Amino acid sequence: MVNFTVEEIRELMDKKKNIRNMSVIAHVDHGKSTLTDSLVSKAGIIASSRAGETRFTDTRKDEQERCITIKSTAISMYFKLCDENISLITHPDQKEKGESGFLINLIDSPGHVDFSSEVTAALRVTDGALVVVDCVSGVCVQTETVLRQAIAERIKPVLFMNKMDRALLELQLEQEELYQTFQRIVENVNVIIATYNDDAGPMGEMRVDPSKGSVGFGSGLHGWAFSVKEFSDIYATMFKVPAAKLMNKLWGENFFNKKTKKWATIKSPDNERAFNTYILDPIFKLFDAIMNFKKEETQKLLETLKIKLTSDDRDKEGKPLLKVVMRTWLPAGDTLFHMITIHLPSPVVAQKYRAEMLYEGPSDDVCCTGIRNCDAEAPLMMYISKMVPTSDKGRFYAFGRVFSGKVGSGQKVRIMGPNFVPGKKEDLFEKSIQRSILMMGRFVEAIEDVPAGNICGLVGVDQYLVKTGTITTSKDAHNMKVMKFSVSPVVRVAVEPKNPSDLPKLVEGLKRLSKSDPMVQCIIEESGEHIIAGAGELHLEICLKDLEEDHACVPLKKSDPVVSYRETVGAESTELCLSKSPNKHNRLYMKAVPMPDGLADDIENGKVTPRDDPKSRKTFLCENYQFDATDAMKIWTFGPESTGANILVDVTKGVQYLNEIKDSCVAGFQWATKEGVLCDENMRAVRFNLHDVTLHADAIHRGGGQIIPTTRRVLYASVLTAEPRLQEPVYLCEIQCPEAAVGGIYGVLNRRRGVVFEEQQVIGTPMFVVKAHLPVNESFGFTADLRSNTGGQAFPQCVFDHWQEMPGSPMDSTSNSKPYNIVVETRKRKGLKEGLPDLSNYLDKL
Amino acid sequence: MTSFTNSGCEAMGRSLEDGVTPPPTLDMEEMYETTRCVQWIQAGGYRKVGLQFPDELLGEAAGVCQTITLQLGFNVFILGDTTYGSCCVDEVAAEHIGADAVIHFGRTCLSPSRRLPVLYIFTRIKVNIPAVVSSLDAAIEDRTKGLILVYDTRCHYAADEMVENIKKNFPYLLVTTLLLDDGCNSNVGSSQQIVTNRETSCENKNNCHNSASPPHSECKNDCQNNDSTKESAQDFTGRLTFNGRTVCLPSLSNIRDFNFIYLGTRGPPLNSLLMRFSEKTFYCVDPKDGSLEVTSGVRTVMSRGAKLEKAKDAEIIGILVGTLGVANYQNVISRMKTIIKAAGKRSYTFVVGKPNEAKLANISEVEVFVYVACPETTIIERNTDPVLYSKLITPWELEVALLSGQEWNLAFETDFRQLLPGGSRYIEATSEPREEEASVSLLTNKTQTLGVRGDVEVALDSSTGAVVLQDGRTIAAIHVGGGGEALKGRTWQGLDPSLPSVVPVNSVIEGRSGIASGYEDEKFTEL
Repeated sequence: MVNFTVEEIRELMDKKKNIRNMSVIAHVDHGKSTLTDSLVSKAGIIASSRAGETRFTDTRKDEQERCITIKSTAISMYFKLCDENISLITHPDQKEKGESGFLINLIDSPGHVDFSSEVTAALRVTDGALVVVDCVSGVCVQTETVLRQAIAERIKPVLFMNKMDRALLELQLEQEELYQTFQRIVENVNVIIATYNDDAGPMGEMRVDPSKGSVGFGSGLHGWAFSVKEFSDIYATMFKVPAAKLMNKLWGENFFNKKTKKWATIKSPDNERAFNTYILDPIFKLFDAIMNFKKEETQKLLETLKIKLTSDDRDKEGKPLLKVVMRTWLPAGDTLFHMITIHLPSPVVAQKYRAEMLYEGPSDDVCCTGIRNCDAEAPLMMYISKMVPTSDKGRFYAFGRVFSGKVGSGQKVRIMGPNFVPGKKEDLFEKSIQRSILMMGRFVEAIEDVPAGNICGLVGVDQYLVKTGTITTSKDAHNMKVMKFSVSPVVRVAVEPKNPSDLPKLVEGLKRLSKSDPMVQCIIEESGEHIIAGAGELHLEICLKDLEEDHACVPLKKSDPVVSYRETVGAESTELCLSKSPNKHNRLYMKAVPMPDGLADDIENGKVTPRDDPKSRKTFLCENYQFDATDAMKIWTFGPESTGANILVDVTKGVQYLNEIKDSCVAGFQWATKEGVLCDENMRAVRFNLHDVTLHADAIHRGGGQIIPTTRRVLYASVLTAEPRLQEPVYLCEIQCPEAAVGGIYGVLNRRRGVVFEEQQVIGTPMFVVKAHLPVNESFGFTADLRSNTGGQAFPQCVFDHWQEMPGSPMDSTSNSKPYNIVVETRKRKGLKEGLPDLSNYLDKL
Repeated sequence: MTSFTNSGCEAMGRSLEDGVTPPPTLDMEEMYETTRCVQWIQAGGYRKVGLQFPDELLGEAAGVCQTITLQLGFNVFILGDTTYGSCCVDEVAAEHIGADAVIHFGRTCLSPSRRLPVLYIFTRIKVNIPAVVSSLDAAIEDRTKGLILVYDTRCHYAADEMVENIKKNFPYLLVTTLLLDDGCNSNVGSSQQIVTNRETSCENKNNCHNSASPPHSECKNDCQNNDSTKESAQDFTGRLTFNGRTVCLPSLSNIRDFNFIYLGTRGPPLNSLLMRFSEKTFYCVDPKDGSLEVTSGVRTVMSRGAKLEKAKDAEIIGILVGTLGVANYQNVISRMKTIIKAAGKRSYTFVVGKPNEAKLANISEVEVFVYVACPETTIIERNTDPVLYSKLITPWELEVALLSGQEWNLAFETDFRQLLPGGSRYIEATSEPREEEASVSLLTNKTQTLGVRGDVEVALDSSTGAVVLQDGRTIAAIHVGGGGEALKGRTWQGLDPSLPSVVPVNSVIEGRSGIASGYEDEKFTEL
């Protein structure tokens, strides 16, 4: 039975110091959902005997079948903390006086890299993260990625070493070996934290430390866990020593000599590491006794450890007995709960340092102040981080976090999308909230209103938001910052209905799909193709399945996956390109130049943006990319979409009326960089210099109609004379496998133009990690191929890394080069004029 | 208009439509039916007659004109350079000379015009009947399936003979007949007159059917003329009218059971048909050599899906007038305005003659244009002009996008008259603003809104035109939404007379001279 009521939760929502918003993050298959079960069972939502098997937060059928989390799932739980533990919380903003109840809003996130946008969305609305690491495989690429993201969002981590049962039962590690493994993982995690966090920053030190209790150990599958704190508590009563003092001794270089009863900091033959003696030893003994069916010994141990079993459980043997013994002795739910309440921040604490990171507007306005103080009386500020499908087809719960104010049913609010600009009407709606709800895994509960510091869902605002947005009651509020994803939608498939007359249903389905996933992009191309773009094959597979079964509900035809390319240039234009306007009265002279290495990345990563102060941008460009100071001040625009990684620079000297045609040139530039000359793909990393302009003296003859098409033509001509090149997306691919399979991996990678740049053994394990760059185009079927070549032992994780220029000219039809074939195929697919673009269509002569 | 926007070399270099130059076997009388023209003018008592030729026949215009003038004894006029599509009657050009009648030569879309009496001379292209029949025989295996024959107007003269020959092998053939209006009546329903296939004459004079009689009997009568087979001589109920043509379907059958044979060359008339009946298989036979192509319009219709999104996304929609002759064009324009306004968007009406990229780029604030034109010119193919293709949509597409109730389907409506009261696709469009609703745009992945927001105060009372005072001081907000907003977003706002000139004018020096394609101080390099 659920041992709390919605009323209890609602009551706690006001006691914001007793709230913990946290997400569970990890590499795929490290046991997040399984571990989460322990907490869910502690809350009474599932039976404790089924914890670890239910995967309660995997709400979808396919998640259960595949045993992989696809969508992040939120659940709110209520627990009471006992008095001794409350006293361990020292920060005044971490507990309300006289309240022992705590509200935990937990979000379980997927670990597969293709769904990492779900992780990003989860992190945004939480303040703390439970980082789960499989102690057998250690810290993996995705562990690092999610941890890095968490730190960037100012999320405080605690660490949990999972799958200890495997370390004991399968790997049969010795105590000291196991300690060393733990020690290494803690170190690795702390290295990552130190790399991305500034200890002097507003969050202070974030390192995890077992002796402080911010590191847990255990087995989610078997439902047991402990931290050094749990054992300190046990021994504190036994030895009559303060627990806090013991905690320091039970981890690290602390050795105890049982004979002399003396502590030392150096290992000597007659002393033992305290962690091994006092923590690992009893566990090892228990494992040994039960798994080897030493009944008497087991009985003795149970008595010493004061573990009481029910009569049913007492009859069990072997693994089932082990499970129930461990679960009774060291219940995982309790340990996790203690770690969360003691070490993760309350919204009151977290929002103090997160406010400036969350809000786009000035940090002293009423909204930002409201966020900083987590003030339920301030204007409402809520960030919607994702949409959760409802049972009502096509409708969604808008899921997010109230950072300030209160949100409730019937309230009239302003709904602001990511393109909203204060003072303008774009992307702004004023609507009433139909209902606010509490997310409980696969169930929802209606709730009257929700104050600052909590996570909840809203009904009735979904149609006004694409994926994310800000909900506020203040007329002057700015947006909350949009999330930055660590993955990009680089793999695309085209879909069409099997029955042509189902097209409207497909379009409707695509719109729904687009809402339901934080990352997927659904686009209708000019050619009429319906494109779905996702992070990888698995992501697309899930999206297509959802589209067909849930959103469009019509049979679909799917194309093979393709990647999108970028058009760029390899050198400066060989000549100064001229194009004349249709009336021949105006001429534009331009050249294309490749951008210096790294500038395109800086633009894409937001280091250089069109919104920068021109002076500071000039300084940055001059210092880092050797820009000429005058040129750097005369960047007319970025493109495509005014933000892309191409620039138009005015390098003319004293041209009359030039400012008058600027708007037309910019319009032509946006268009041309969006639809490149080679095959209508976006351009990237090209700098266009406008060298000279001849204009008709009469304004009517140099209007947009003359200049826009001409700008486009001259840009195309500049590209065609500047060694046009294609760029393809490249994955960073990390593969884990046993040593024997490494050879197979190399074979597969070689066939697919993959380049290995790192290979190393995971210390303490027989596993190897191979890191490689793999062109996305070659990655289709890679996972399956790898499995068949390594006997199913290798498992890759691919994440988009960078754009890479393809060798060979796309304009070279003779040598049958790859870029040439790509251009021809892409043009055909998009229904463009077949064959290569002809320079003479764009370049004019005097 | 073209002379302002390009040098004219494009027009000179433009290749003529294939197969339109008269074959030498056909003389002028046969091709242009000058005698009949003269008879028609005399019978109607017209004094000023315009002769409209498409571009590709202008070369022979003088000869035809001369022949007719000689027979009549007074001058007739050639109307060159048609303002819009050459398939439509150019009433504007005719009114320039104050004509009281027009004779239209060449391929026609048969769109009814509204003002002047018109005589259509279809002209002829050679039809190689044996080749056509044999290639149809080879291509179509299922003889029991119903077929509908549609032909290019220029094959009209040979229609009877052809039908007889094709019928031998395909007993279930139905033949479309051409609908010709009397040129003065703008009412769609009643003014149409059916010209039977037997008659090669397309004159309007002998209207033997009483227009008041129900279409049912009219139809029966008509089809009996064409069909001698038992099946089709039975009861008729369904008359199907499209693109100036009509066909009677047997009572128990549905258009779904038919495929099409199209006799004619590829081009706008076929495209329009393919889209209208996109689910049908079309056997397109070239009348000259009988070469056959099996095609359907499904792809084309499907690939226009992006246009609906474009219309929904657009803040400003242009109404581009592509005809000043086709009947009811003004009704459609005002209907479009109503719909656009009710959907919370702004509309501006433009008349630019034949549209091209440069003309539309001058009004680049307008994201999408509804092109009000005849069924054949309204469709622009992507591979002929990608820029126009991406900017223009048809009135039907606009309705599907903006008018709830107008459903999309595969039968692409190219004829805007069907959207008006009495038409097959008519839906009531109220000026009542649509309630605001939002969704995701599949072009930009941003929110797209339809309908009018409740909280917007109206600055100008649009019905009375009276100025309303806002907050006591502002008289009107001119730059709210629409074109004003777009104008405000421009960095260049025009010259500011209050600023002193940056470059002081010291002395006058001689500038450049010559023409734009190469000024005198420039070295010429031959192309």
